[in-house]
This record gives sequence, structure tokens and C-alpha cells, in this order.
Amino acid sequence: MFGSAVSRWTMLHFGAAISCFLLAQLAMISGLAFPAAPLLAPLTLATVHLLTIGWLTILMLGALHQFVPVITAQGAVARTSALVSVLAILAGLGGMEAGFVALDGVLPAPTILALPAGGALVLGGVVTAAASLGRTLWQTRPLPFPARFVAVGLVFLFAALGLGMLLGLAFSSPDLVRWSGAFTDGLRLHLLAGLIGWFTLTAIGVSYRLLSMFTLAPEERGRLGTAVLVLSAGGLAATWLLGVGEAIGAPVTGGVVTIAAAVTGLGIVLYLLDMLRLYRARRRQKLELNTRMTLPALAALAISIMGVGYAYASDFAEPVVGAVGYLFLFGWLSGLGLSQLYKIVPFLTWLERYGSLLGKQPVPRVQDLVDERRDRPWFALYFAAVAAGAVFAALGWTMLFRVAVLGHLVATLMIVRALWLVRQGAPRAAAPLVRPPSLKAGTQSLFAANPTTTE
Amino acid sequence: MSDEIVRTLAEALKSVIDPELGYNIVDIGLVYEVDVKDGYARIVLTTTTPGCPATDYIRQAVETCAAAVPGIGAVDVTMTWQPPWTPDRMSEEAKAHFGVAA
Repeated sequence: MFGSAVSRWTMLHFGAAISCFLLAQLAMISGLAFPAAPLLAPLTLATVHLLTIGWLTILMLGALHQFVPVITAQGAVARTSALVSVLAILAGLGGMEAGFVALDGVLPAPTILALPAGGALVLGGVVTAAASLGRTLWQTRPLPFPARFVAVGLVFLFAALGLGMLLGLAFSSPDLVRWSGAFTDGLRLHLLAGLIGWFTLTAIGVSYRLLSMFTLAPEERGRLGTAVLVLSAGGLAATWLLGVGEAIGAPVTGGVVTIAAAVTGLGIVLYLLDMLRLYRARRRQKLELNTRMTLPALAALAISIMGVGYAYASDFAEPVVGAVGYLFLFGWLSGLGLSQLYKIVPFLTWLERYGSLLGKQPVPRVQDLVDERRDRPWFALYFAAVAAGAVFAALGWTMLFRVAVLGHLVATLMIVRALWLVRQGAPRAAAPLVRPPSLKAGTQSLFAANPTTTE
Repeated sequence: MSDEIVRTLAEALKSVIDPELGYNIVDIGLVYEVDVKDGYARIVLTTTTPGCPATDYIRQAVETCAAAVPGIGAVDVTMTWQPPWTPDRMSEEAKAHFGVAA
């Protein structure tokens, strides 16, 4: 076996993640979450965790089960652990959601204990997944460049979940965990570890590998790539550790924390510049929809970074922070996720359905499992609606914000429909099939005239 | 005769595609060596990236297609990633298809 095999449970991860994404958008449209409700209201937190654990974490773990072996050119070490992991995370998320709803007073008070209990189950699921992924990474030392981001991302995932557990206990059992800074220091560290450490650093690593593959750009990122890794990961580690110091009362100067945070931001800015360099150096001029639609996601990251600076200057006013968080989650992370799913799902489906038929029976091409012309407007609607939603959230225009969310929910549904059609395995009606030569029957001319050997 | 079989074999391999690029492996330059001696075909292949999940499918398809060529009795397919594949290995037709810049 030379290549990495198709991960058996990746599609289950994707299906579960997409379901959570749709549910979270429905919650926002119905006015249960920010900006209709305060940023730290229990139902906003319930929606945010549906997005961050249900959608993004499960999506990323599913993708990593498939792509860590690709990034490291190794076979996956354990496979059933992926199933155990996703089931535990989903069950734990269900508990957490019940706990948040109980915090809101909708469910009986004792149900609040489901928050830390669910968090523990999520942590267990993540440990199961990370153990498998970590073993694969460990066997590949020294790690290839993109895998280093993934390794750092996994460390921050534990930091985010550990702190999340502590916060859950502080909210549900204040007698057990007395933490007056839970809503300030604790939440800030939790967000930093989760949004930047886990999601963004991991997305950076995976995007380096996938985008260089998909655009035929050089994988070697040189000194700029090294600077991205050192500044973003090192800066974030310093910011986080200094923040922990502050939270436990160590004498930490605020200016040092600001400098460390600025270094992290500089690392991400350099990543954006490196992506620009990667796209400019690409050999494949005719880009597919997934690589074209990565560009607005990168733009959302750039605007989010500027937004963080603005939020800092405006003393973290709630509408600005909420708008930046929304743009970061929906524009950058979800935009990148949706656009890459549009390539990954057809590719994995092709491998499952047609891989073993290659050279034996007529097979479609991966790109013929989707219809880019049909789906392009939905991606455009998605990003346009997110941009409008960010503006409306910043201005506090709640009703218009909900209309914008409805816009990207419709777009998401149409993209999901496209992926569902891919899973049915029917190529576009007009798509050519690649035929085997059947040379023993003396039909060499079948493929001689056409370089793609299609009929 | 041997040159003719090699040519026929190379043509046969054009029916195997790299699924991600959607183009035949010969024109995108994944076939590093093709050698036929006394009905024994030796083929050296690469993939566009190490660890590609399609690697085994491509290798098996190459074995199947090569074995179907008249005059070939046994096939040995070797995978290598040295030297690494680059778009420079594409044929002019493939470069034009992908708009590969010089």
C-alpha cells in the first residue's frame, strides 16, 4: 500500500458537521443568538458551540483523519477510533447544548450539570481522535511543514477544551469552581486557544498542503513560511501563557501581552501574504471553484484581523466584537470549510466508487461529479450574505442581520444539495467517461486522438 | 518490435487518469519509465504528491492496462517520488489544457 487509504468515517464526520452548521444558522435566523441576544447569553453560547464543536471541530477532525496521512505520506494508524471519537463528540455536544439551555432557564436547573458532563465527553472524543492523529504525526518526525501547524493546532485544541471544561464547571457549579475571572480572562483564553490556536493554525497547515496541490504551486514555502509558523504559533503560545499568568495573579505587564498578540497577528498577516504569493506562483492558471472560493475566505480572515485591531481600539465594544467573531467564523473558517468540501467530497466519492474501476471500466473524472456553473452563484451568495451580515451585526441592525443569515443558509443548503448529488455518484449528464483501452480487442485508436482519452 | 510495444503501452496508459487533475497520467508526466523486454513490462510511476489516496488505484489501473497490451505477459509497476513530480513534466497539450504557466 503506497498511498493513504480513504478514511472510512470521514463522510460521517462531514454529514454530522453540516447538520450542526445548518442548525446553528437556523438558531441565528430565529433570533435565539447574537445580535438579537447578548454575546454571552446562554443561547448565543449554545449556538456558538454548535458552530465551533459541531460544525468546525467535527469537520476538521474528519478532514484530518483523511489528510494527516496525506500530509505526512503515512497510512492512518487507527481507524475505528475515528467513529468512537465522532460519536462521543456528538453525544457530548448534545449534553452541552442541554446545559446551555438550562442556563437560560428553559430546562430544569439540575440539567446545567450536563454542560461540564457533555464537555467531558467532547474532550474524551477529541482525545480519542488526537491520539490516532498524534501517533501518525509522531511516526513522521521530522514533521513536514504543513503538519507542524496541525500538531500545534491539536495542542491548542486541548487547551481550548480544558479551559472550556473549567468554564463549564464555573458556570454550572460555582461552589465547586470559584473563578471570578471566568467571563473575562477565562473566556479570552478559551477563545484564543480555540479560534486562533486550533481552528486557524490547523486551517493554515491544511491550506498550505491542499492549495499548493490544487493550484500546482510550489509546496516549499521558504523563509516566509517558517516566519508564519514561528510568529503565529510562538506568538500565540506566548500570548496564551501570559494570559494564564494574568489569570492566576502573576505580575504580567499588559504591554507584553499586547506585543505577543501583535506578533501572532503579524504571523497571520504573513500567512495571507504567503497565500497571495502561492496563488501568484501557481502553475495552474485555470482554477477550479474550490480554489477560487478560497480567496473570499482569505479576504474574510484579513478583514477579521483588521477588525480585531479596531475592536481593541474601541475597547472591545460588543457589536464590533460580535461582528468580527461572526465574520471570522462564517467568512474565514466556514467559507474555507465549504469551499474545500466542494473538492474533498467529490474526490473521496470518486475514490470509493470509481477508484477500483479505473483501467477496467469507463469512469467519470472527479470534476464531472460536480457542476461548477450551477453551484458558482451559491458560493457567491454565501460570501455576499456573510459580508452583509458582518456589516449589519456591527451596526446592530438585527432584523437585516437575520435576513443576511437566511441568505447564507439558502446558499449553504444549495451547496449541501450539490454535495448530496455527488454522493449519489451520478456524473453530469454531458460529462465524458474515461474508457479503458481494451487493447486485446485491437482498439488502440480509441484513445489515440484525444489527450484526455474521453469519449 | 520492442519500440512498437513500448509505444502501444504508452498509449494504453493514456486511458489511466489522475482523478484529481482529471487528465491522463502519461501527458501529465507521472510515468517516469516504460521498458519492455521479452514480454516483461517494467513501469516506473509517480503521483503528483506523496501520500495521494489515489496511488494504489492508479498503480492497479496501470497494471491492468499494461497487461491488456498484446505481447506483454508480465508487468512490474514501481512507485517512486524521486525526483518529485512537477508541472514541468507535463506534455505541451496538458500544459495548454491546464493553462500551466512557463
